[in-house]
Amino acid sequence: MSESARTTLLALSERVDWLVARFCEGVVLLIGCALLALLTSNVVARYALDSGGFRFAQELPERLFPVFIMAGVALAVQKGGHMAVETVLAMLGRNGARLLLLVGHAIVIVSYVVLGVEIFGLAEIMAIDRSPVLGLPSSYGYYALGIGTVLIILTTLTLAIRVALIGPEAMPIPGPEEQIS
Amino acid sequence: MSLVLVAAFTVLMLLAIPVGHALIVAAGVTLAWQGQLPLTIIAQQMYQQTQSFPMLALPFFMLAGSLMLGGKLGSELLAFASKAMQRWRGGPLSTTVVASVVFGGVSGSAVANASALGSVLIPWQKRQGYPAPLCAANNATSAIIDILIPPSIPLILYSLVSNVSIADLFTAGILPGLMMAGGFVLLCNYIARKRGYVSAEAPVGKRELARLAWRSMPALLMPVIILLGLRLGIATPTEIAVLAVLYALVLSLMLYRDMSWARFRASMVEAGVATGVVMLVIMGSAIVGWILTFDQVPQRFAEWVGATISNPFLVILAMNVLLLLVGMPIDLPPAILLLGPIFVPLAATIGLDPVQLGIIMVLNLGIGLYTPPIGTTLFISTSIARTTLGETTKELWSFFGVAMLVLLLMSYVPALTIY
Repeated sequence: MSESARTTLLALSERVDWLVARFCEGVVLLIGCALLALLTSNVVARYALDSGGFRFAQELPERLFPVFIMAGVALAVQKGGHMAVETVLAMLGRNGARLLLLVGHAIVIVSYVVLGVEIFGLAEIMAIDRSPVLGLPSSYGYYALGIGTVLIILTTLTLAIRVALIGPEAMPIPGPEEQIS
Repeated sequence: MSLVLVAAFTVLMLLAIPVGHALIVAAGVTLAWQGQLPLTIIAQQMYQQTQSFPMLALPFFMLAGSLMLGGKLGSELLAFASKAMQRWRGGPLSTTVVASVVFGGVSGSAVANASALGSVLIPWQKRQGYPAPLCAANNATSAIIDILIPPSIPLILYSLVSNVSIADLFTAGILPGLMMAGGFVLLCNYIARKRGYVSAEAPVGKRELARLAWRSMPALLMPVIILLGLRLGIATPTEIAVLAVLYALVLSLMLYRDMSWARFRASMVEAGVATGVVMLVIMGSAIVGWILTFDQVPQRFAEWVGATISNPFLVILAMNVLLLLVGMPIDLPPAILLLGPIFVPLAATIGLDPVQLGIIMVLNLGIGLYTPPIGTTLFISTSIARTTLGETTKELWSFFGVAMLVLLLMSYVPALTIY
């Protein structure tokens, strides 16, 4: 591959990553604050109102949670936060590690394409299933999962491009605050 | 069908594919191989996990911990722990242990604890004359106390797979956490006496110690507030987690005055990422769990164990050995989510309380976080101490012995976890 094509491809993947990161961070912040406000107001309402809280207090957060989760999943792919067993990877040389990572990324991309098609198909069907209080369709949650799989595919693809062009050292290293053990 | 699942999962793990993805892909491969079941089961199972109201507690407990420890309160806690332990022989080492207990009341992650405490305390301990491998071993092992003291993320995950009350699990985690801390403090004291380590800093007066305790009080009260809130039924675990965030925000804004929009934003994004990591594993484990249940693996496993090992004492021992082995290569959350659905029915057949089982699992898999050759807190601590894995491992065994003793007590004395 020519140097200019390599530079263009790397710049493009960085641009895609930047866009995905800003989008997901915005979603996490917005939904996180909304969940915080909803759940707090329900605790207050439970003790302040005779009705014992808002009827939608469980329903609405549950509908918002998939959006928050999928944005977090995509961000974690970018930051290398998802836990993996890297024993074999550590045993390999640079080229072997690059090949192993590329095979792994390819499997993830293909699998999520198949999964995404299934999720979007199911989302259309689940539009008829509505929540009891607000009447929100379940399809919202499925669309959130579907968009999440698209983001996972995009971020895994940009990671794969960087690993192919730069090497295994292009893999992100997670910070301790992003680990949950 | 389950064998295909296990084989696919193993191959994907060896390819260094993240556990969450590996679980989902392995389940997809299994369903495709079986041919009769639709792939939409994966989508349905993934979606169902996102509709769990109790799981909403996860991001907010993480956010509360991040908000509290990221500011001045974290420094106050550390100052209190170090000065409180200065009076003891081996005090600098014990500081890590005590700090793990007090940080455990705010955070719920051993890895974050090992990193946060290690980066401040290990260089300080080395300057006081303690060898780097000992500091690393002490830091790696003490970090596990964090996941036993409420709020504990692994215990929340266990409640998901076992349907045990989070309040019961949080209450049950306190005593083993404190026993582990007590054992480590005594060990640090013994090591310091045996090797002749003397603290370079003079102990502070009682008045100064009382002042530091007062400054740290808001954080020290957090686990008490959480437990009281849950026990008195003031709010659900999810709402308690949200209230913990508000508590952290009020403290940062009003008392410590160190909150900024940038810090809040960073903490929220961190919580979002950590939630994404754990929820992907939960979604993947749910699909795998569905396949295993469809194949009647938990029931058959329980029947097989019942027929092979009739003595409950040996069943618990076998569980512990398996957990120790699994905990070495596999991280704590996926191990809980994968083994929980298999162990809970097995525990029921031998009369083992699910709360006790939860503590055994978390404690055991927590030990896996520093058991060589793979261990996250072991790697982090060794790296911060700038020593080698081999040297740290040599110092690790006495701490490992204390942890195993606590594990055995938790495994065979139910009164220590069920009260």
